[in-house]
Order: sequence, then C-alpha cells, then structure tokens
Amino acid sequence: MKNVAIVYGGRSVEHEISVITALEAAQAIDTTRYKVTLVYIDLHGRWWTGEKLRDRSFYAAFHGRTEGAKLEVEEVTLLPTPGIGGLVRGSKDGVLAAVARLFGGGPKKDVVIPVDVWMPLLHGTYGEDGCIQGLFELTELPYTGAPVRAAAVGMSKPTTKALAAQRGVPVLPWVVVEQHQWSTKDPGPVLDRLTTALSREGGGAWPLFVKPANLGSSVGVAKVEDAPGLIAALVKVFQHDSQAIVEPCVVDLSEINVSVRRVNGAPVASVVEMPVRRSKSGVLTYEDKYVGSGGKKKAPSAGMATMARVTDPPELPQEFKDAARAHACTVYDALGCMGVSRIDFILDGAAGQLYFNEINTLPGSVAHYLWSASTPSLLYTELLGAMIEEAEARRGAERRLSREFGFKALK
Amino acid sequence: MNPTALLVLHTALALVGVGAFAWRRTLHLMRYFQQEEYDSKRFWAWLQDNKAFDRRGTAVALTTALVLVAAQAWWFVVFGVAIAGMVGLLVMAQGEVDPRVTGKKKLVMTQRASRIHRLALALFAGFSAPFLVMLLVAGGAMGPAFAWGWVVVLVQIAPFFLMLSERMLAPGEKRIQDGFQAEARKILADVAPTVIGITGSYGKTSTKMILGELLSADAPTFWTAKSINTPLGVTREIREKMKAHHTWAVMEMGAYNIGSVKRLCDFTPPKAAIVTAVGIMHLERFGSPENVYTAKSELAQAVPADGVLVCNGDDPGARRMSVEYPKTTTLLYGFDGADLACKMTDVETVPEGSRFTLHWQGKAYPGTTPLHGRPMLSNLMAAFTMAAAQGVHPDVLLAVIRTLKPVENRLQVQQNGAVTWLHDAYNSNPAGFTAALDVLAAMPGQRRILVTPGMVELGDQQEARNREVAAKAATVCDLVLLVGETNRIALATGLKDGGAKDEAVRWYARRDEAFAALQKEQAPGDVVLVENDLPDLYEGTVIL
Repeated sequence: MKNVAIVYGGRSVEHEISVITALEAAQAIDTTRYKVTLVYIDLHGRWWTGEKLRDRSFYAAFHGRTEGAKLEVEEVTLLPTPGIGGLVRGSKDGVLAAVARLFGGGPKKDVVIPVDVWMPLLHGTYGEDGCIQGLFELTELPYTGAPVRAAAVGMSKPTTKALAAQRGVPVLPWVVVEQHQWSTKDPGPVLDRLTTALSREGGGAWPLFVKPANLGSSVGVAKVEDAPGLIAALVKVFQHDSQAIVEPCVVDLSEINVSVRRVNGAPVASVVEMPVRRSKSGVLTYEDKYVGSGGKKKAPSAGMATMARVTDPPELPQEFKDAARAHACTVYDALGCMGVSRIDFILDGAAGQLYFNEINTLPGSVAHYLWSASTPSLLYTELLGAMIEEAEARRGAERRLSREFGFKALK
Repeated sequence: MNPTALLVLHTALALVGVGAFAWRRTLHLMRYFQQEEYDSKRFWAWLQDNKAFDRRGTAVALTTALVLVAAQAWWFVVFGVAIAGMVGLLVMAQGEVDPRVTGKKKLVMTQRASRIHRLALALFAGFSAPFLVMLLVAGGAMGPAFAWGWVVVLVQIAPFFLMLSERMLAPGEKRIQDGFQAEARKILADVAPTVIGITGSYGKTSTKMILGELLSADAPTFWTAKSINTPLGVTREIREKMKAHHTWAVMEMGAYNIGSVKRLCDFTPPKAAIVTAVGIMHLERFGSPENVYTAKSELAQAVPADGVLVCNGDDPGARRMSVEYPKTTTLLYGFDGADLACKMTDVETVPEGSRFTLHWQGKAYPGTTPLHGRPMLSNLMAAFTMAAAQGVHPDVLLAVIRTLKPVENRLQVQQNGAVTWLHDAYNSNPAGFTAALDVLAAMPGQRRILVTPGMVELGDQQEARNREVAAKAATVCDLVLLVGETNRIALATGLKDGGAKDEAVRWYARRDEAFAALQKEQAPGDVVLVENDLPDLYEGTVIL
C-alpha cells in the first residue's frame, strides 16, 4: 500500500473550495491501493493531520482556533530534506508524552508520518502557483499535477497568454498594470494608457474586464463600464495582487472550458463544458461557481462540481468544440503541464471568435466531472489513480538525473 | 433529631438558597453595570431611576421569616418552612434572566467582568455567612426567623457588592490595563502609521468607517471596529489588529468628559483630525455646552501646527474650533457657506442611495453613493475632505464612494420581500432623526411606519427635542409605534402637535412587542424606519 498525502486548504482565497475538493477526492480514491493521510493547511499556513479532518463539520469549528489538541488534530510540518520520506510532528509535546518518553515510551520527537506520494489539491496562492511544488521537489518525493514551472507560469495570466499567443492560440488583447505604476494621487496616466491601448475600432474602450493577474479565482474580477468603475476595480485588485490585467470585455460572451491531461506523454482533451451564469453582471462569480443555485444553502457545496453547466452542449458548433480542444492541448503542452488542468476559453458570439482565457493547473474538483462525461469515460477513482502513477513515473525518470558534480572547488 | 443539628442544617439550606440566588442576581445586574461602563455613580443612578431594587427574593425571604416567627416552637415546621424558603430562592434564581444569552446587548463575560463578578460573589459570601451562623446560633428560638430576615437585607444589598468589587479591583485593573497600553504604544511606534483622529457629538463612527475605506484605496489602513473609542478599546484593537503594513490609522476619539480626548491623543498622537459636530449629545455628562466644546477641542489642540484640521462648516461649534485652533491646512466642509473647502450640492435621494455634486478646489464632481441621508452625506464629505487633503485624487475617492457599503444600522436600507426597512438603530440625535424622516419621506412606498423609543442623553432639552421630532414625524408617517416609557409622553404630545390621529399612534413597553405587532400588521409597500435602539438600560422597567 502506498501512502498518499492529500495536501489541501492553504493560504488562499479559495481555501474552502480546496477543502471541498480534497474531501471529495479522499472519498473517491482507491483505498485498496492507497492509504490516504489528510494534511490540512490552515489559513495561517500551519499544517495539521488527523482522522477528524475527514469530518466536514470540523472546519467551521476549527476556523479561528489555533490549538489542535482539543480538536483532535495534530500539527505536522515538512522539512525540505531530500529523502525525508514524510512529515514530522510539529506540535509541542504534552506533559504526558514527555513523561512517557522519559521511560522509553510515547511518540518520539522526530517520528515521521510516512508519505510516498504528495497529492496537492490546493487552489490559488501558494498551492497552485509552484510554491508548494517547489517544497515537494526538495523532498525528492513524487507529487501529482503540474510541476513547478507549469504551475508558476500558469498562475500568471499575462505570461500564459503571451505563451499561448506565441503558439498561435488566439487571445484577447491585454494590458498589464503593475502596482508601482498605479497612483491614487494621480490615476490619470494609467487610465489614459488603458483606454488608449484597448480602444476599439470606432472609438471607445468600454466595457473593460479587470482581473488580478496572479490569483486564479473570481476574487477582484470586475466588468467595468466607465472610469470610476475602472478605478474602483483597480483599487480592489491592488488590495490582493501586485499586478492587474485589463482586457476588452466581450459583450456577447459565453465561456467554454476543457480539461486536459497527459496520456502516454501526449496531451488529451476532455469534452467541453459551458458554465451557466446567474448573476447579471456578466462575471462568473464566486457564488456561481461554488455556492450553487440561488445562493440558498440546500445541499452542501461540492465545489466546482456544484456549478450549473452544460456538458458537450449540442447547440455549440462542432468547429468551436474542436478548436477549443486543440488549443487547450497546445497551451497545456506549451507550459509543460502534468496531471489534470482545466483550460478556459471565451467565445465571442457576435464575431464567432474563440479566445484562450486562462489555465487552471489545479482545477476545482480536479475537473473529474469532465472526464466522467468524456468518451471513453474515466471515473474519478481512475483519474486519481492515473495522476498518482504519472507522478511516480516522472519521479522515476528524474531520479536518473545526476545532481552531483563532485566536491572540487572547495577541496 | 436534636436542635443543634437542625440549626446547622437550617444554616446550610439558607446558604444554598441565598448563594444560588446571589449568583444569578449579580450576574443579571452585571449586564447593566457593564452597559454603564462599570461606573458606580451611573450604575447607582440607574438603580434609583429604575427603582431596580429586589422584589422577588425579598418576597420569598420575608414570607419565610414571618412564617418562622409564627411557628417558632415547632421544630419540624421550622425545618419544613426553611426548605420551602430555600426552594423558593432556588426557583427565583432559576427564573433570573441570563444576560449572557438574552437581551439586545448581551453581557460579554470579559476577563474583567468575570473578575468583578467573582469577587462580588466572594464578598457576598464572606459578608453573609458569618452573620447567618451568628443569628441562627445566638437567636435562640427566634434564630431562624432572624436569619431569614437577614437574607432579606442581603438580597437588597446585592448590587453594592458589584460596586464594591469594582472599587477593590480598580488598582489591579489599572496595572493590567497600563501593561496592555504600553504594549499597544510600542506596536504603534513600530508601525508608525499616520494617525487621523475623529471626534464629534455624532457621525464619528460612520466618518471613521468611510475614511477607512477611502484611505484603503491608497494604502493599507487600520481603523478601530464599531464605535470603539476609549483607551481600553483602542488598546485592544491595536494589540489584536495593527499590522506592520498599515500606513494610515483612523482613530475615533470619544469625549466622555473633559480630558478623555486628550488622554487618547497622548496615546495615539494624531497628525490630522476631523471634528464632525459639537452638539448637545451627552449633555448630562458635561454639564454645559461650553464643556462639550472644551472636551472636543482637545483633539484640535493635539494636532501639530503643520497638520490638517477638517471641521464641519455647518456646525457652529466645529466651525469655531477651526478658527480657534487653525493649522497649516484647515478645511471646512458642508452644505451651506461661501467659505467651504468642500461643498455638496444637488443632493437627491433615490431608493438605491444618493446623488450629489461635490465641489472641491474649484472643480465640480458629480457622484453617487449607496449611502442615505444628509448626516451620512455630511460624514462622507468629512472623509472626502480629509482623504483629498492627504493627496488622494478626487476621482479615486468618488470611485470608491460610489461602491461604499452602507454602514450597518446607520440608515441602512434593507428590502424584506415587499417591505422596505430603514435601519437607523444607533444612538439617535435630533439632526439624525430629522434626516431619517426625510429619507423615509423620499422612499417610494405605500405606508410609512416609524418605530422608535425617541432620543436620550439630551439633558434638559430631552423633552422638547423629542416633542419636536415627533411633530415632524406626524407629517411623514402613517403609523408610529412608540417603544418604552422614557420618552412616551414627549413623543405622544409631539405627534398630537403634528396632527397625528390617535389610531395612527401605538405604544409598546418593549421593542420586541412592537416588532411582533408590526410583523402581523405589515403589508406590501410598507416602508419601516427603525429609529434609535436604546440599550436595555433605557428600555422599560426591570423587575427584579
């Protein structure tokens, strides 16, 4: 039996979504092949493990608390030591454990919770952007999903768009505003630059779409109709991100999402889906994505799987479906992605034009709903198994690479 | 059974009963003691005003004592009666309100509250037990009756143990508090944000929140939560929430008496200040309007000569302050006046908020905001003027103002089905009340309903001012639900002055009763204004 550590939560605005993704995955994983350890990263960045984590009601109770003892979870930590083979207990020993150790019993300080494969199911900052992937690299243990470079590049919307454009994938024009360029004392120059650069034929730039460049969630995303709206949106973005990306807003807009994973080294695309928007603002909101119908809490949210969507919509012309799937594979490959990604496109209905929008290298619910709807159908359990096997194979290949060059210069 | 054993048992019973009763009663009283900010003088005044002396416990103990006098020779009767007395007290204890879970403003068992309550109980026990034992032993046949008579005294003096406890703990409390405050001072010195102080008889909390939002557009901003404005509260806020990246700190400074703003300014020295109004609120605490002015001017005095002072040009007191304590940058804001640095015109109330034009440095800026009512727009101008004076561009400020969230319970509009609610539940004043009525009149709807206990803390003007606003309310409202005794007569008279028909005015002892009645009564298209929500202290009579 392989020990798989599902790492989730994290210091991100998508913290709760990650919890939902992880608990769902823990249910779906093949327990005859894998022994799952849940590793929960709280909002302060502390790591916890324990059986109690499987209980969905634990999280609301834990929120705002810092002491694990009463909540029956144990603090753990990960040291960046090659070959460490797992987690180290992180919390201070209680008196009882200390006394027990005096007599040779009780847990030792450095007991390792064995891990054979890391499965990060984190969304957004520190989890989907290459940070934690870097830490996993240092442990020399395999981890599922995108490697450091793909994750880091995929998190930056402008970098990914530039890469996609270079490979011939159509993208909407964009302008990046750096925080240091923005001044609340004199917002004029930035506004002028944006409206000039993004003005359309026949004049006028509005409406525009403003997003944080590196967050990968709906937070701070706004459709703006005028200069005050643009200012308010930029102010909001710069409270969360140091870069804003501004694009023209497609008026007759629909969205098309495709998932891509690697089979025998080559990218393969899933069926396409079209999310259904409920809010009038023209922005797919956090609530649309995760909270479910009408915002009323009927059933517990299942994360991305909650969103109203049409899979493989019959009214969408086949040429768009094919184009989206082909472009998705191109972008996935350009980044050097592994595991399951979701690539989102914008369809300009009026112009009949498809644009690449963004990539999620660690999509909510691991986009499993797209794979089970694909032909051939792949169940969530099989999808997770394939991700683990891919991770192990990659680590196997990397082990053959030599990192040592002898000790010469300091001899 | 021999008499001595019975006496001991009797003592034990009386102690259990009175102990349980004292525990729940003192806890109940803690709510009011806390709402009076542990100020014994004010607490005592409240006890007197409300005639909040014990009735229930006294009734039980007195009955027990009297029966015991009658039945002194019959030991088994005596014993039975004592048990009945104890059970009676336990039932009364059980029936006491638990202020930690009920009431509008719940008792928060802070460490300080716990300390005061625990010591009060210890004092109570230390004071009651020896006497009980003595009376029982020395009283002979009349001992039990004397003891129960003593219980009557004990339940009557229960509130004094809270005051005594507070007094005894004061020095220790001060030491702890000084330690916390020193820590907060150090944090403030390390972070070194630009501190902006706000004071005023009203509007300071809303102004603080709006300014906090406006400055956040520029850089991370710290501001104290809710209406926290005392050294105690500010200390806690700084210790818990101030972070290294905070560039601005907006501090509300409450003037409770002369010197209290100065103490806050010494603690968090302001580089700039806003004075929203020098009114007649809390006149009782100050004695004279001049004292109110002096207390608030401590903030203007604390701003360095090269600092920024922003004053409400529509308020004579605030205006006077700008003349008496001018700084390098002294700015007035308001609706009327030729000398205003920031002026608002063309105000229009629409269901989703207000439209207006702001005039600043020779330019006119049309704007909108989800906020309602002239007092709130005045606060908005205060915040705008200060933020603009600090260099934030007016376009940025107006963009943020357009998306501001309504301040909770300050003319906050809420659609509840087909009924529109205007929540204006914070400590009300004549200007605020009048403006709320204006907004009520401007809202689209069928019937206009007002729920209010009137305004308090207006000194000798209380009756006249309540009568005035009630007369205005009569011209706006189709139905008025009055709450509580405090302003009942003044409001009812005012409504009559304004021409309200008798059937359009109703009275309820408590707020929840008024709401329950409204629940049944309300119809689609109603617009309901909830004006002022008094602390439990002022609502009805507490029967103890």
